[in-house]
Amino acid sequence: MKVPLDVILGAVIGPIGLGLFVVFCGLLLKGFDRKIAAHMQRRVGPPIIQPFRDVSKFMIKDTVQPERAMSWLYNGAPIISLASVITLLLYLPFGNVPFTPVLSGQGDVILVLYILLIPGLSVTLGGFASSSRLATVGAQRKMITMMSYEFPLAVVIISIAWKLNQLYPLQSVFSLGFISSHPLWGEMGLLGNIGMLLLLMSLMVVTPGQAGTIPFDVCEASSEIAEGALTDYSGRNFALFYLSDAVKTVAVGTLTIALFFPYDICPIIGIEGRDALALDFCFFFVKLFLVVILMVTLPRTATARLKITQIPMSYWVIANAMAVVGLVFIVLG
Amino acid sequence: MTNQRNGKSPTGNDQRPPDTDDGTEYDFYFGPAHSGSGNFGVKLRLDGERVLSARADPGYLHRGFEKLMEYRIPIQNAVLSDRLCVLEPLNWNLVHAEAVDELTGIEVPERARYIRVLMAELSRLQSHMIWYGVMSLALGFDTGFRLAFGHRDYILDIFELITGGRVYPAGYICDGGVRRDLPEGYGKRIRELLDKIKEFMDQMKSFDNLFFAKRTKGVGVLNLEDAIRLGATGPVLRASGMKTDVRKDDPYEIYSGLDFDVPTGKEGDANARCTIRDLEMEQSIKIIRQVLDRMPEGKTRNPSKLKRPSRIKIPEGEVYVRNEVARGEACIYMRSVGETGPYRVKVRGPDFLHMIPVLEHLLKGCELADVPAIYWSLNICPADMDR
Amino acid sequence: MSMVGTVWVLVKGLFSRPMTIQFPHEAIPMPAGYRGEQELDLHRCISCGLCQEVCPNKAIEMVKLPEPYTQKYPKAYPRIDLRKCCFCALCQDICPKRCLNMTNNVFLATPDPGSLMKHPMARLERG
Repeated sequence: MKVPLDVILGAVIGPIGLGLFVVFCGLLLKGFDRKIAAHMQRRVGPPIIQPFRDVSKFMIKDTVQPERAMSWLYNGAPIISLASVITLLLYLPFGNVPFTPVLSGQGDVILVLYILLIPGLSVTLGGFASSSRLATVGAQRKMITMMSYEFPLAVVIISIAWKLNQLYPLQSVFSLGFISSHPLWGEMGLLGNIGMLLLLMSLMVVTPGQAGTIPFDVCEASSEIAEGALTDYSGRNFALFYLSDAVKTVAVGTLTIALFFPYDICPIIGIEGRDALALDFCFFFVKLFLVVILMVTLPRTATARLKITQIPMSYWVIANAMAVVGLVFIVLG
Repeated sequence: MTNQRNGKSPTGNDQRPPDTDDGTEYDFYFGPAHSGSGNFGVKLRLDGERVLSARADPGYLHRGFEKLMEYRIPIQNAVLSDRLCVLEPLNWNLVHAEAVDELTGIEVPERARYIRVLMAELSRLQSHMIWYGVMSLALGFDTGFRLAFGHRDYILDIFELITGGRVYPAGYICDGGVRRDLPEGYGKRIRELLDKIKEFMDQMKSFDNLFFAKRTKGVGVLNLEDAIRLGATGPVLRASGMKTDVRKDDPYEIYSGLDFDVPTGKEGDANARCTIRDLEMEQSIKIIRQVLDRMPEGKTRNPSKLKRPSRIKIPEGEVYVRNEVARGEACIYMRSVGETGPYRVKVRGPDFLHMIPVLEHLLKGCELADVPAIYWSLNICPADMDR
Repeated sequence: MSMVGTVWVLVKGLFSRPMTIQFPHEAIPMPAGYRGEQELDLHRCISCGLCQEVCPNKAIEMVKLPEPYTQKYPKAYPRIDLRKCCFCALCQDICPKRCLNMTNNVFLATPDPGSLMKHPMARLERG
C-alpha cells in the first residue's frame, strides 16, 4: 500500500509546525495579557516578549527534584501536560478557511472535552507526586475545581450540538469543524439567541477556571498555599507547565470562538481568493486576542480569588443555572 | 481535635504532634518562608482545609531596639525609632519624641506640633494604604495591591520633599520639635496629594464589591469581650464595637482642637476591620486639611541647633506615653537616671498582642483560605512585634 | 452594579498614563534636601569631631591624612563608612561650619566594597 506523500508530510509537519506555532501564539498572548493587565492597573508592565524570556530562563535553570518525590510521575507530569494540549490542537479549527483541523475526521467535541481535562489532571498528578504539603493541598483543590467546571462546560457544548442536530439532521453535529462552520446565532428566534447568550456567559465563568486564573486559581493561590501544586517545580519541568498553560489558553479561546464566534470577516467585506485566506487567518487571531482579554485578563484584574468552598457553589449553581436555562431557551427558540 | 499546647517544649516551640493514622491531619507552616506572610510565621495544624489550631512563631525580626536605645542619646534614638515599624515610621517617631519631651520638659513650638500631627496623619494614611495593598494581595486581588502601592508612592513623594527620605524620615519628629521646617509650596502639593488619594478611595469603594466582601464577611469574627480580653487596640478593637481612640480619650499634641470622628463597627469580622480603616482614611484626610488651614508660623525646634551629644542630660524621671498609630495603641515607657541617654526603654507596640493572642484565637477553626484574610485584616507588622 | 464600576476603573486605567516609570531610563525628580551620599568640604572643616560623636551607627571616624597632604591639612578629618551609614543626616545638622553636606546621589550600589569607605583625601586626589 502506498501512502501519499502529502499525508505523511501532513502527519509529520502538521503537529510539529502547529505545535510550535501555537506555542508561539500562546506565549505572545500571555505577553499581551500581562501587558494589558498592567495597563489596567496603571503600570507600565513587562515587555510583550517577556514570556519568551521567562521560558528560555526556566529552560536553562537547574531542575530541582524533591527528595521524597515520586520521580517518574514528577518528571512525567509536565510532559503529559504539554503533549496533551498539543494533541488537543490537532482537533481545533483555527479559523475556517486555511486548513481544516489535522485530525478533524478522527474525533469530535466530546473528545476535546476529555483532552482538556488532561493538563489539569497532570498538574494534579505532579502535585501529588512532589509529596509537598503545599502541593498536595493545591492538587486537591485543582481536582475539585476541575470537577466543578466540567458539568457546565458539557451542558454548553451538548446544547449547541443538540440544536445543530435539530437544524441539520443526520449530520455529524459533534464534529468541531461542523459546529464552527454552522453558527447558531442567526438560526433561531429571540429566545434562542438569549439562550445562546446565557450559554456564552456560562462559558465565560468556565474559561478562567480552565485557564487557572483569578478568581478560580485556588490551586496555586500564592498567598495561601504558595503556588500550590507547582510549588516544587522548577527549571525545565516548570517551563513545560508554563508552555502547556499558554497553549491551553489558546485552545480554550479557540473552543469559545468555534462554539460562539465562528464568523469570518472576508465574506462580510467581500474579499475573495488567496488574500481572503490570509485575512481570515489574521482575523481569527484578533478574535482570539479579544476573547482572551475578555475572559481571562478582565476577570483576573477585576476580582479577588474565591475560596475553594465557594468554587463548586459558583459553578454548580450559577454557571449550571445559566447553562441549563440557556439550554431550555434554545430548545424553545 | 489535638491540643497543640500540650506538647510545649521549654524553648516555647511546640513539639510536632504525630500525624494521625488516617493522614488527614497535618502541620502547615504559614511563614516565615511563605509568600503570604511577612517575617513571621504561624504554625497551623490542619485537617484537610480546616485549621484545628494555630501557633504564632515570632522572632525572625528581633533587633534589640530596647537595649540599643539605652546606649544612645535621644536624637539618635529618634533615628532608631523609625525602624520600630517600617510601615509607619513617623508615628513611632512621634511616640518617642513625646516620651523624651515629657522627660526633659521642653516646650515644643506651636508650629512643630502642627507639623508633627500633619506628618503623623500622612503616615497613618500611607500605612492604611499598605494595608489595603497587602490585604488585596492576600485575597488575590492584584489590582488593589498595585493601585494602593502606586498611590502610596505619591505620599512618599511628600515625605521625600519634607524629610529627605522616602520611607525612613530619620527621626524627622524628634525631641523638641521637628528636624526641618516645611519646604516651599508644601501646602499646594499636599492638597493635590489628598485629591489623588480621594480619587483612589473612590476606586477602592468600587472594588469593594465582587469578591472582596465575599471573602471577608463573617471571616475571623472577634467579639468585643474577646477583643478586650486579648488586648486588641486601635482599628481591631473599634471594629468589634468599642469606641476608643487615644487621640480622643487622651489627646496629645493638637488633637484636642481638631474636629474628627472615631468610626466604629459592630460585626468584628474582617470586613468590619476593612471598613473601619477605609473610614479612618477619610478622617485622616479631614484632619490633614484642618492642620494645613491652621498651620501657624514660627520656630520648628526648641532648641533649634543640635547640642554636642556628650553635653545632653535627660533629667531624672520616668514617663509612659501612648499614641494612636495606624494599627493600634503604641506606648513607650522611658526611664532616665540623669545620663545622656535613657536608662530603660520599653516599647509597647500594638502588634504583639494582635499577632499572638488575637491571631491564634481567630485562626482556630477557620478555613485555610481564610488564613491570609484574617492575618492581614489585623494589619500586622512583624517589625513592630519583634522590635 | 459594582461590577460595572470596577470594569470602568480598569478600562479608564487602560487609557490613562501609568503610575510607574521605567526606572533607569527615566526617574522622578529628586527634591533638594534629599539625604544621599555625603560630601565633605575639607577647606572649611575644623576637625571638631561632632559628626563622629553624633553618628548613631558610628560610621564616621576622624582620621589623619597621609603624608603629602599633612602640610596643608594637619588635623584629623571624618572618614565615612557608607556600609554603616543610615543616611540620617545628623552629621549634616550638627556640623558647625556646614562643611559636611548630603547630596542627591543615591546610586551607591557597587561591586567594589572598598569604594564605600569615603576617605577625606579621596576628594583631594580627584582634584
